[in-house]
Amino acid sequence: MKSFLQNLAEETLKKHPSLDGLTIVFPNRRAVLYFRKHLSSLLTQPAFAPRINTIEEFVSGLSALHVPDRLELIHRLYTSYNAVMNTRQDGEETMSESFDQFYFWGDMLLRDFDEIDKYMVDARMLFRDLSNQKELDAGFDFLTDEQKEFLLSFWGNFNVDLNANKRKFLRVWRLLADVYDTYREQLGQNGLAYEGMLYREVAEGLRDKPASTDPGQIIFAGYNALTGAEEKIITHFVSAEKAEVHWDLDAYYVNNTAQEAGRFFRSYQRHEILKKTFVGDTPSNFSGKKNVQLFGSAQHVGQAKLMSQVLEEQLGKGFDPEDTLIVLPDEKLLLPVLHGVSGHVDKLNVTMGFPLASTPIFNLVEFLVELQLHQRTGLFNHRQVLALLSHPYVVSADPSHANRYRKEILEKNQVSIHAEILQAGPPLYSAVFRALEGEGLLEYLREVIHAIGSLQYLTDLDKEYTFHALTLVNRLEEVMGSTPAKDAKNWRESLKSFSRLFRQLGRSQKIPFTGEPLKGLQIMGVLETRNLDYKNVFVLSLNEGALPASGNKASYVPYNIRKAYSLPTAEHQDAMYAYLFYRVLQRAENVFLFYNTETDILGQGEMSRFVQQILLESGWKIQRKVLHSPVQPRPITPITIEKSEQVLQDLTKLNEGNKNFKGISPSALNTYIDCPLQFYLKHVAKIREPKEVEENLDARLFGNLLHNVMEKFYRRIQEKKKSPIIQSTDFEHYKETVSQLIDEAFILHYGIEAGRKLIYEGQRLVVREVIRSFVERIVEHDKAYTPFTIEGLERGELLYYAKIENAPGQAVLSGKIDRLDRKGDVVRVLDYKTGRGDLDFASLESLFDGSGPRNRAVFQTLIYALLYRANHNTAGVRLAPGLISRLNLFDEALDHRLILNKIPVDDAEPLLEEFEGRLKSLLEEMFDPNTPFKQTQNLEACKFCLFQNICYR
Amino acid sequence: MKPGILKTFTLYRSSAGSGKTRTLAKEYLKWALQHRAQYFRHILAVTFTNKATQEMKDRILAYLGAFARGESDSLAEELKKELGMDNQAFQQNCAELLTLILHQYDQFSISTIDAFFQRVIRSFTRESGLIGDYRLEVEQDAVLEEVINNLIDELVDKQELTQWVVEFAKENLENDKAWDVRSILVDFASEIFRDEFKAIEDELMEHTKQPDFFRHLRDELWKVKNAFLKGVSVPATDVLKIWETNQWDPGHFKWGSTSGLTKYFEQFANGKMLKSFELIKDRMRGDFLHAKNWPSKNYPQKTATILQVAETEFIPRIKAINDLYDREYARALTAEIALQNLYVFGLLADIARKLQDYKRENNLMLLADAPKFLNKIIGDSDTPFVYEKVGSFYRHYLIDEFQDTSGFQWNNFLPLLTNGLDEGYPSMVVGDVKQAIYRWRGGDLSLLEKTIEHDIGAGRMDIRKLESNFRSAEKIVVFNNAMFTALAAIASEETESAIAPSVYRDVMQATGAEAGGFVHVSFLEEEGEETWKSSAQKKIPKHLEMLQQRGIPLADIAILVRRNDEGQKIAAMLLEYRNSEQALPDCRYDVVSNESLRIDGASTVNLLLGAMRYLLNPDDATARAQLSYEYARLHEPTRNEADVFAVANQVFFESQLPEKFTREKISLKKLPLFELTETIIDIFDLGRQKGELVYLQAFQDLVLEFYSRERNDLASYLEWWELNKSKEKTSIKLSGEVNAVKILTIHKAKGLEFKYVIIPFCSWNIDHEKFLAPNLWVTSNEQPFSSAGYLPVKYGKVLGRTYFAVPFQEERIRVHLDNLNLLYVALTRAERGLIIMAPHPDTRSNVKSVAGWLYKAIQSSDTLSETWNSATQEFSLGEILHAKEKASQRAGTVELLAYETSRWRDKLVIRQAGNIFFQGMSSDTRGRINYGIHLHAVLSRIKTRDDVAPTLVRLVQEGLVVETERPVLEVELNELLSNPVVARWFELGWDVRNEVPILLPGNTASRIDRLLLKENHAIVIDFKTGEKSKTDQKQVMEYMDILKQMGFTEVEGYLLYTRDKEVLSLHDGKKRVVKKKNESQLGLDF
Ligand code: SF4
Repeated sequence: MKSFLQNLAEETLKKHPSLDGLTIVFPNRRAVLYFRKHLSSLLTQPAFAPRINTIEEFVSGLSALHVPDRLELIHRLYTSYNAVMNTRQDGEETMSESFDQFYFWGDMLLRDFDEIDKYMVDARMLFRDLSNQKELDAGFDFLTDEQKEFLLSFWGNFNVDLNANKRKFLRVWRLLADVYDTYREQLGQNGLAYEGMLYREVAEGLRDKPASTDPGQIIFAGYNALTGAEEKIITHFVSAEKAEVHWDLDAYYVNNTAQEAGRFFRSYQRHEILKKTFVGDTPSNFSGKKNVQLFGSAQHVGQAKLMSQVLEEQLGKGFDPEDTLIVLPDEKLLLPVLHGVSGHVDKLNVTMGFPLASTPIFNLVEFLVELQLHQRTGLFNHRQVLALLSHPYVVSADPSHANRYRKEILEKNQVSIHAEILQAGPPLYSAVFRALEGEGLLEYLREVIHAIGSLQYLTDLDKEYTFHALTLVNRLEEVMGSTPAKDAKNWRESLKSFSRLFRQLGRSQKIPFTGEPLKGLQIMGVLETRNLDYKNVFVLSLNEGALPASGNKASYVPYNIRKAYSLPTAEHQDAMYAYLFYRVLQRAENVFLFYNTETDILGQGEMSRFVQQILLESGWKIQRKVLHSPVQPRPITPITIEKSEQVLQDLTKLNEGNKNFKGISPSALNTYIDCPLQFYLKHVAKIREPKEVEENLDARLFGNLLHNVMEKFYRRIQEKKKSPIIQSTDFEHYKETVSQLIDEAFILHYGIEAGRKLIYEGQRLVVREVIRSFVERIVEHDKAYTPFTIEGLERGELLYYAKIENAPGQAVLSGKIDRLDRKGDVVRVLDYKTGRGDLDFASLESLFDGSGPRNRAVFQTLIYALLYRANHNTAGVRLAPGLISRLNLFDEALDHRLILNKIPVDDAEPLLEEFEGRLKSLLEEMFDPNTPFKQTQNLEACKFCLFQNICYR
Repeated sequence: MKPGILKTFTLYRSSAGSGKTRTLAKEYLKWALQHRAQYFRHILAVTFTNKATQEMKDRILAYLGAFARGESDSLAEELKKELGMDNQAFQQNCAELLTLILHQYDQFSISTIDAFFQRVIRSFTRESGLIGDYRLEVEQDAVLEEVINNLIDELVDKQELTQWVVEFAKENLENDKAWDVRSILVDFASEIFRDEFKAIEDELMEHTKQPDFFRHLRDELWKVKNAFLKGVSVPATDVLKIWETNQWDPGHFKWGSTSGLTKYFEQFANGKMLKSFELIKDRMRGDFLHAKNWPSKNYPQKTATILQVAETEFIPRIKAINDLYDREYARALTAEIALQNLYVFGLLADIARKLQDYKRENNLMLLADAPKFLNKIIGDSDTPFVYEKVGSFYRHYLIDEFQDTSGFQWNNFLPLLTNGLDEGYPSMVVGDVKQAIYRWRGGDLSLLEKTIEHDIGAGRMDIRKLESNFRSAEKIVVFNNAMFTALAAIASEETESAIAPSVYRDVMQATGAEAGGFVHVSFLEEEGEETWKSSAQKKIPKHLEMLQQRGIPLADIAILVRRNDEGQKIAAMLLEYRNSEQALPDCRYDVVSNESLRIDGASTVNLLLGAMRYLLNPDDATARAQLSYEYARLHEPTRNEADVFAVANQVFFESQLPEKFTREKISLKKLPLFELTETIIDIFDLGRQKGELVYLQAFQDLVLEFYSRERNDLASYLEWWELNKSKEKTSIKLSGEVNAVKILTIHKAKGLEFKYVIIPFCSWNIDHEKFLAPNLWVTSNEQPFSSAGYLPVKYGKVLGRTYFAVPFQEERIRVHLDNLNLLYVALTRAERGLIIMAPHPDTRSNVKSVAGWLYKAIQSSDTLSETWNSATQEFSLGEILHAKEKASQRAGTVELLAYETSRWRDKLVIRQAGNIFFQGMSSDTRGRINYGIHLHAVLSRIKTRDDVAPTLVRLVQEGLVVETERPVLEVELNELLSNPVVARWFELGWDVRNEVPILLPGNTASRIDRLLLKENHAIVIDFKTGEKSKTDQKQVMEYMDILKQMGFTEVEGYLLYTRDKEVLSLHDGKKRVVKKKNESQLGLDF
């Protein structure tokens, strides 16, 4: 079937054999290229192409005005708006908004102005009606005081004085007409215009100066919904017999009045002048025989993958990529679709934009702004620094450097980092990590982007992204100028405001992918499909909100006034989309439609009405299918580590320990009992948690701080009196001492340099108080226990050798005992537990049974008791292992003793024999070459395990 | 207006399975067809879930489609009859309506209540110009987290708030809860999202706003408590002192140590916690008020003294204590209870305030705020202006699932409904109080139970019941009829309230589905170590086997649980069972549960994650382990696992992975997120794991969503993932049948149906569990509480002795009803078979749980006790039949055969403005201008020299050139153009064409940068930015050739290299260097 453009080319050549001097005007650029191609295929000789324009080009060619970019337009509108608001002497003062706050409104206002002009509406009248209506129904008179209060508290961004607010609000409406006039005037004086203004100027001026701008013979082709100005311009040339019009339509929707797709054609068919441009029979291709298939899939990626599968299959059956079109109403699908276009296609052409906000460079800019936002006196916060160090482009510059810096920050737990240190890195770093002082943000950004753009290994696509980011930054600087901030607070505000604006711009800025247009498989947005015909058409995202796009664009002009002034409404837009949808299908032979089967949280985005329509009305036989892949994740298999030679060797090494620690720790043993596999992974295979900058105070850190404070507390006393004997008099002013020790512990942890103040705020404050109450309780209990002798604090050098049968014949245990003290014949082996530290245990056996809940803390203290006994003479001594934890700490009298089956343990000695025995068999098992390391059966143990995602627990 | 006697409002009470969707659809069609044409626009139907919305829309369109084709069914017949239409008229009207709906789809108003409210609010805020577009936020928990993070970060020393937080942290510490305040605070503060809180929030804010409100209140409360303690302690201590001086002990008095005297006096003398005070025993109010009852027979010699002291000292003091106790205990206890929770109060008030600020600053509305927001806007108005734009053209309303409506929602709807009704337009509501299980989300069953009748007016209300159950087979209906009749009676007895029987008054249903069906209930005992729960768990696979042996596919079976973790345990157990020897070879044990639907339940996803984590941080050993393990699992399942986990050595670790991965590692790190995932999928060949494609797909959807909404970098994504991986939104959604048992919670099962249902742990608590007890917001008329307004107190028995006894009792009744309703929902899901396991009355779990009720109900109902087997302690009714039909493959589905991923960058032809722009720039670019590019840009745009300046301005406007660069460029250009050769190109008198396309036969076209024409003289000029090259020359010669073909006789050709400013002149196939750049200056010379 011949396409619309092919037909047009033939007809054109027939009617105008000399192409030079002819002007052809299309709605958009794609048509231009295809048309040229069709023309040349009909030629026998080289020839100058006729002038082929888009309607924008054509119309701007008729005017001396120039349309600058949107940013500039909005900024100029901002200026005009402020000028009007400030100069009108109506007794009101105006608060001026910042540009970024204005941007949203400005964008909306500009759109309204644009439409008003494009539809040739009497702006003064419209604004008067609008203002009247607002006086009537949007004054706040209908709100009771209570309701006003409520609104105020809910959103509060209007004046506290509601009356003043109302006046301000109405004033805006009243002055809109002035803003409109002033703005246009200002633009005109600078030779500028927004598009609608330019169109209107041309349309209104046509009658006066037709001769000077005579463009020769014109063909308008492929239009559907004309704006008032367009209609006027076209009509002008048609009635002057200077132009012909070619419509791309189909009887299916033109002749059936229920079909919104034909709405505009039906009205042009009745148009006094345009009606004569409808010549001949209305084509009827739509209802022909087609192969139509409809696919549903949950979400987006599924659609893309399914589409690739269908495409692949059809290409295999002989589809020619060049006859094939993929339409993407939702730009989000671009990447998934691109990835899905596989081997059979070696060339692609994409005609749609990729939002700048989704590119890595945009991300980088956001990081940069945040970096500066959190920068204080040349110190950067580790979060942003780390984020930047792992940003793809920064990594690109020098991967090993980035990694080294990262490691260093983590290892030193550097919460904040000096700019100079970072700047010493690769050249890019000196740009990135420059600490700004209250100005020059755009400078800075431009410099960084430049540096990125010239990186050697950046791909072309990344360069393209970078290029666009740079132009945006340049534009911003140009339009807004750079105003230095008055003070630090202002500066931060301006950074925030910049990043809001940048984000808004980044979302609307699309990076064009336009390339060699006529080759390969075509991918485009809906609007781009106008006038083009393909044999095979794939349309994705056929959902409400994508096709038709959601109708409610924000506007100052409400529905009833739009209607009254014939401005486009939501129905208008729906009709436009309906046409686009039906048109792209009308000459196609194979049609594949895809939609998302899931709606959003508000139930919006159901299958498109257009699909419903063709399902129930077209009479086509449509095959419907839903993507439904089997849900069969790979079965979870148990993990078992057999004790190979290598494993045994590694295991034996545990006896040697490392530089901080000799032998096997009680906590490693605990882990082994809880889960042998976890023990293996953590202690033998040495798979440890990655380092992080500890800013938040987690439980472990809490423990560290507490231990630190307690240790120092007694060391101080001992040092002072040069004696390990503690008496109640040693506790004078203990509260101050504790406070001071806590401060010291914090300072140590954060590596705060001498002379800099430690500031308590936020969570530190809570932690300090909690630690304080913990320490004070312990100290108070201790005071009541005086006199006693400290025998050891954080003692770590004690070793215990357990003989075993299995190689290597012994296991070395050790541990760090929090505190040893002696009073009379009682030696307490104490452990501070900040977590749960229950004293009860049912039996020694239970301590070794990992299949259910067991008391890890008791197990640990008993090991300490063993360590003590192995290294000291315990004759005549009662060895009392115990815990100080949140469970007994807040009791009136502290009882640290372990409780075996409801009976307190005063002396561990009688238990130790059995304990040693069990310990031996535990170690025996651990070193037994025939017992593999297995996963635990006790799911509780998995709850806090690092390897959950490996075990699927 | 029509008189109110007309029953314009219909309320359908729709018990489980009674076909309410059909009822709703029918009503919709009836109204729409009755009036024809555009009338459907006047009907608004609201449902509670998106699914229900969709279902209703689909149904209506499907009915219309069929009827428009002339097909007929029972519904069509009913409609014809009720509308009084003949076949032809009916068909025609249906066709007409269908067309209208399809082409005015926006007017087809069926939506969720949330969506409707959003529409109203949006239009209100827009039209009134109050604020810009607010952002709607669905994830209130995330917002709360943020608010609390800010709150904690902003804590300052010596502040009331800081004190509360510290108090809160310490409280948690002492109570053995996690002490990290952040996370518990979030949990705790979600209280403020409850409707109960929202209802009183404003009042609360008002009260707590007063300076020193809390300090003041605390003092007051302490005063009350202390006054009482002191009041009783003084006399009690006196008595104890007298004993001491006389060396008396209880043995000296009558009844000795069993007299309760010690306890009494000690409690009052030393007791500090009022809630642990015991009631005063009768003896202290009776016998001991008479001196004669004091002396003990064992000490006759002391009788006289005791008699006397009792009379003068003891009895007056006891009286004083008793008196004070009777008068003031309740008040003091109330004070104590209030004090306990005071910091909770303070914290919540502060958090609520911070949340408000946050919303305000971010111009944000939570989805859940909408009902209250509207409520406030509507106020008492009968014709609220908010509805002017959106609601005013609706006349009829259909509301589904009415029992889940909240008070706010109902009040918002009421004016709309009343308006319609007043004008004589019928509306209807469908609901079932028995299925109200969403109280925690604001659902208020009393609306359906009584409020609605009051608000609408009984006079115009027509209450109907949907009689039949079209879901469950006969025996199940019979069972539930008897069961819930009995249970309602039991509930009523236990709560001393008539609410349950009233709610369940319509529980009896007729069978509308098939005959047959079966129900089996067993009560399990405990033996030794074996708890009832573990034996119930062990029976699950047996049940599955039994059902499968009767030909029932797993997909037809659902296991319903009360809590998610129960489901998790069952899933784990079935997995283990499947791998054990007990598993039967011809049976399957596959499960789909929330957990297994977690995206990271798939190996491929974990591999992907492992790789991503590794790329982000190569030192992360856990990432290495994950990657290594999953890779082995997918591609080398037999590899020795110790080797797999030997990842400490990076070189060894990487050597085990595909070589491509290590090779591309660096370039992978540079990829944007989505491409990164695609490339990893490609490298590790993940696309061939058919059963996991759904997971990959869902994972990538998250990535897609994340980078288009948030950020496009690996670290941010992984951070987000860690926080969200266990949330529901990150699980895959089942879009169809899976041959596996479904495990789901009862709440999730609401509205669904399954052929066979197993409820393995039918034993949830009837009352609140102690540790999970909610806060109640209560008031009292007694001082000092009345001036404090609402106070939060923990639900618990002790409240019964305080001034808050009434709200406590109300809550107690409600929670009982909630749990009964939950049982109703659970027991009515089954179509053909229902298997229930519950703890036996001899076990502890039976007491206070629904199991106890279940047991009692069976005993007390005549119908049920008939088939009770007391020997086995089992109930059964009906029998399990072999499945009738073979499970058929669902038609109309397609599978992904593989997961296509390819590298598109090589295939895509793109414009490369960027590449050219950055070309030849060193990274140190400060102050350097890329002249070549800019010169080219200007030259190819201008026609004459005069255009230079405006064109430069345009370049600035396009962001290609910065303002400061403009003058420099202008100088450059002017210099270049003042050169005679170049200048000639820009003289007047030529027909100048920039970037001219020339059409060549056979589909090709050429574009010349600048072409000058005068009669048959043509000059071709091309501008180049790069290095000189032969191809450039060739190209220009070709152009010259073409022009000759076109009839130009005198043709010149030039090349201008803008970067080096060198001009090449080409004449008839020969080239001549016209000028070369002079090193020292920019000017051009010959
Ligand atoms: S997740 Fe569980 S089974 Fe796996 S290693 Fe950790 S504790 Fe052991």
